[in-house]
Amino acid sequence: MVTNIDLWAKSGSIILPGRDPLPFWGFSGSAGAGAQLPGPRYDVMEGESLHITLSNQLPGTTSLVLSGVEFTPQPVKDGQGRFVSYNTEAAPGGSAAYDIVAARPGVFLYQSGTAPETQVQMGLYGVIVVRPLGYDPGNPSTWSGYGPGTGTEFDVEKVLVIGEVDTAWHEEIAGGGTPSDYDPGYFTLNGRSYPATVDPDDASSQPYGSGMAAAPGQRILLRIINAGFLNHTLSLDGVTARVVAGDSWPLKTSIDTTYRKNTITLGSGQSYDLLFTAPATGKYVIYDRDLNHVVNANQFPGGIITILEVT
Amino acid sequence: MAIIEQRLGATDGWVKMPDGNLFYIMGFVDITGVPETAVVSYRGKARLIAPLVEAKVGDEVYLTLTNLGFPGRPDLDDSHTVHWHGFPNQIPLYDGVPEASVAVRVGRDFDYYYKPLDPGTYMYHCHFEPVEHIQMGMVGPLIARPRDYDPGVPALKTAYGSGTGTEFAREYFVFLTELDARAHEFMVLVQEYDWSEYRADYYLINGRAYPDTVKDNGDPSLPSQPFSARIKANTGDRVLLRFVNLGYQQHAIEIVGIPLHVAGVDAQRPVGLNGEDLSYGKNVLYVAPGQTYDVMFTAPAPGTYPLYNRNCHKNMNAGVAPGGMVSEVAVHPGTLPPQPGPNA
Amino acid sequence: MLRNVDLWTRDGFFSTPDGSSIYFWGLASREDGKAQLPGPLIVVQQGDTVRINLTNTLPEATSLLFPGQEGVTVDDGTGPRPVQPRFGPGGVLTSFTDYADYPDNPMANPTRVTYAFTPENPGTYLYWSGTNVHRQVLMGLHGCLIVRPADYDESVPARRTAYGEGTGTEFDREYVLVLAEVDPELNYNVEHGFPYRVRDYKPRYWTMNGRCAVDTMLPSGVGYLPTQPYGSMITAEPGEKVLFRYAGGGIENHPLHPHGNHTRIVGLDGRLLRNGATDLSYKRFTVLVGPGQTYDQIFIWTGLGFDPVTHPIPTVLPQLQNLAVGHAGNTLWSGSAYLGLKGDLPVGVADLNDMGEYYFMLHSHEEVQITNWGKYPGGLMTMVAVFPSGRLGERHGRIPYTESVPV
Repeated sequence: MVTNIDLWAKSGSIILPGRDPLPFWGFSGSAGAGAQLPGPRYDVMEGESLHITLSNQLPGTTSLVLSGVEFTPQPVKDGQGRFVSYNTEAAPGGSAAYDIVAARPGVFLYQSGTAPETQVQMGLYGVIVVRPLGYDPGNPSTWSGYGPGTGTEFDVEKVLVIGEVDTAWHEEIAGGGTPSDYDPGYFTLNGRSYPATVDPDDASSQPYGSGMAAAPGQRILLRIINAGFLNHTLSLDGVTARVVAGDSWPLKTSIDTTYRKNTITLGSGQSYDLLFTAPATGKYVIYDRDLNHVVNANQFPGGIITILEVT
Repeated sequence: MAIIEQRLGATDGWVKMPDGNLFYIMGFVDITGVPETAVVSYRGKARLIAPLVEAKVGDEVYLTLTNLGFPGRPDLDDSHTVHWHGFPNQIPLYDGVPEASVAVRVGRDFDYYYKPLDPGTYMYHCHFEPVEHIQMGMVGPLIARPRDYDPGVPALKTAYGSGTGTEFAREYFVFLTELDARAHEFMVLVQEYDWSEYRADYYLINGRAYPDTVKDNGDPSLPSQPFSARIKANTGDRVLLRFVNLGYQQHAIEIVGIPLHVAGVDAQRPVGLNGEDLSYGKNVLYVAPGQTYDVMFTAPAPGTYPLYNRNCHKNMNAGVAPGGMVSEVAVHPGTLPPQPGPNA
Repeated sequence: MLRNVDLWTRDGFFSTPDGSSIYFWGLASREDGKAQLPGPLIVVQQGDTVRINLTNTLPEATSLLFPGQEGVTVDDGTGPRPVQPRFGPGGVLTSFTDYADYPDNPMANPTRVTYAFTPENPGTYLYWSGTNVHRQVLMGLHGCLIVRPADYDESVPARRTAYGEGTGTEFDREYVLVLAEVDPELNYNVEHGFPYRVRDYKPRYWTMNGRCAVDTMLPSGVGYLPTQPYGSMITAEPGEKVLFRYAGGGIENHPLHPHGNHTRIVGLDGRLLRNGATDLSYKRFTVLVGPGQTYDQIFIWTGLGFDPVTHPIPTVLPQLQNLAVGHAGNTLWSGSAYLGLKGDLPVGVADLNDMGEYYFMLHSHEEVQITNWGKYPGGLMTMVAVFPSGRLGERHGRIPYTESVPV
């Protein structure tokens, strides 16, 4: 069975706390919709063949790669033999198609494969969640991150995509220039900085909230993936979680190598699945323990902070 | 068990970045077997990265360090050492920390002795004024082979010994460092550098920045940077990548289209006290300075698979893309001859 | 048992080996005591009732978080209740947890609060401020908490463990290394009321237990470092099990590399690396110490068996005049290749070696962090000293409990 995913790369604008709208480049899931940060989240089944069509409405070429997925890229090189794109290019106004098999369950980044230092920073990234065989969205008893025997059954699931925004880069690149030193001043969860992280999902260019709600005793699967260029360290206040997968490789297979952590560092591009039981009623802060990342520019509180509410 | 005698000269030299800029370095050069009268001709010929040191568990390694001085900085009379980073149960005399043992003065030799105990990927570097000498380029790769290693027998061509699931057909070291242009310029201009101002301008694999990384071993345009960072394999080959980080920053390396399996960390198989197999998969390998990872994959369908730093701002040369820590995995349809040695 | 810990927030100055005196915010363990960097080491036992009485004297509200502990309560005089984040106008976070207000607040909220919890898991933990975390944690409001297992008995080797009898975590000596960084300009701005811009954060000093090398190698409690009471010199004898408790108190990752041997990581964030019968411990020669995280490891150095009579070193040691010995005029080397022996040193080189003990450097491999404001040696560096068997006092590397009080 083949699932078609149609993506458009477009320019748009995002809102960061305390400043004017900022130009960005992002993916959208339909011709009529605007670009969004991060790109549309897709749910597919393990083993599905994905036929992804990328239509390029940006001023320059772009392309698409998936991280952690086996495929044969079709890189494009310039006259000097240097990479221009890590995969088939879509020219401005044109499109490109990619065929990928979602071979294993987990959370995977899709992102630009063309000049990623500029295009990924501009916002061309999103995630695809691959569901294990047997997963049925209508039947909570089938819900797990990685299927039977992996100890990843959950009642509540949340995907948190970490990112950074260097506003000078955005303005420079949108104006056709070349950026200099990378020095982001905004740090994002699902494309938003606190306090916007705790707002609900909406129809804006930053549609995904990062707030969480659960009842005491519910099993929460927190799926954190780092789309930024820097390392980030998530700390869960009042909760010690079990790390059940790293980079979408489940840790409980023939033996159980899952382990418990209160705070965990993610390198760029990496992901961890953290499983924990919702504690007593109340609010719990989840934040970046790199404490220079809990500000917007210099304003505290901001950046990578969200709240779990147990009621 | 073999006796291995290798001799390293410590001296200075110059490296070239893809944008044409030349940088003064300190480093090591292999002078094994060079007649005593000819040793002086290696002054100023430091290599980035330093020569590979390779031995089997049980071998006896006599590594002679000869301090050839710095023709480019005749005012400097720095001593040098070799620190085999990660050697288990080492004694200070052979550990190369000048504050706690001895260093080698200009014009003198010292014999380090090692009898490797555990197989895996290590690194060596000078530990004299280490913040300066490591950044200046005195860094090299080191492989300890398992005792039963036999490259002619597939089941014995392994990273950690037969039965450890680490058989490989080809192996490459992926040696990560950075170059701070000001630090190197200050050195040649005889100025003090404030190391808390450290910033990397060039991000290097095996001593080269992209696109030089994909040039062949011994490319004539890079006389001081002999090691290619291009990974080649035939479809179906088991490939072993030996990651080393001797820079001052953490790096996150990804190969587009090829997930990785971590079979060794810091020259140890990841195993629990009862032999539990704790090896694991990774999509992006996150490596800190002073760490090594042995990572394996099976070469997929023929094609070109880009290797890049997921800290994408590091894929530049002095701020200009493409560059930096980028290379590629070239997979051939069975047409490559067997690999004669690491990175060959 | 009830462990009652009194802490006062206070400002002060700490010293660096290059002569700087830097303003910081720390915790004092007596009302008339000095602030210290890092905060006082708290040592309790699994199952204890731990009460932390925090009194604030800073010009802003403050609090403490106890990551890895569950069911933490706070009492500000109205009775204990579960800790909760505090929100201000518009529902925006003002503090990650309940806080002690500052003394001159016209709202006259309590300036003293009591946090209480019962640690359920042995191991190494951090505590840190939960208020204005982008400033207070960096200014020095963090420290280490050790929870001993319920069956801990210092006098019984099988029960002198990090995680309990039978967990493979026995130790002969233990050392805590709390890592952090300092940007003196940010501290200066706090001292003088200038804008605090954490985006400009650029550390110039890196601290191990609040000190920069070479002060890290001085003993604990030296009088001229009154706000930095903890040394980081590690001592052991061959074959002993040495428990290293690394803790990331700052906001950056630091790759710590001990010379001499690998360590075996047995616990992370105060949780034993074991699932039932499955042992998850593993060996590393460089451990990346992440912020807010802890790493319990066992280090054992046995040596390679070299002995001048039975197993001499196989190379010829050059004449002294052909060797460079000593750095900055002194050396930790004994002059001999052999443990427990002393040999000749060049004239003019000061001998810092006591009895032929071996010194192994333990340091960050991000080498800029072994400088003080760019000058080597400094920063995140100390030594592991291996003494000849039977020559090191038993009390070296033994950490006492925080005093308990009768319930």
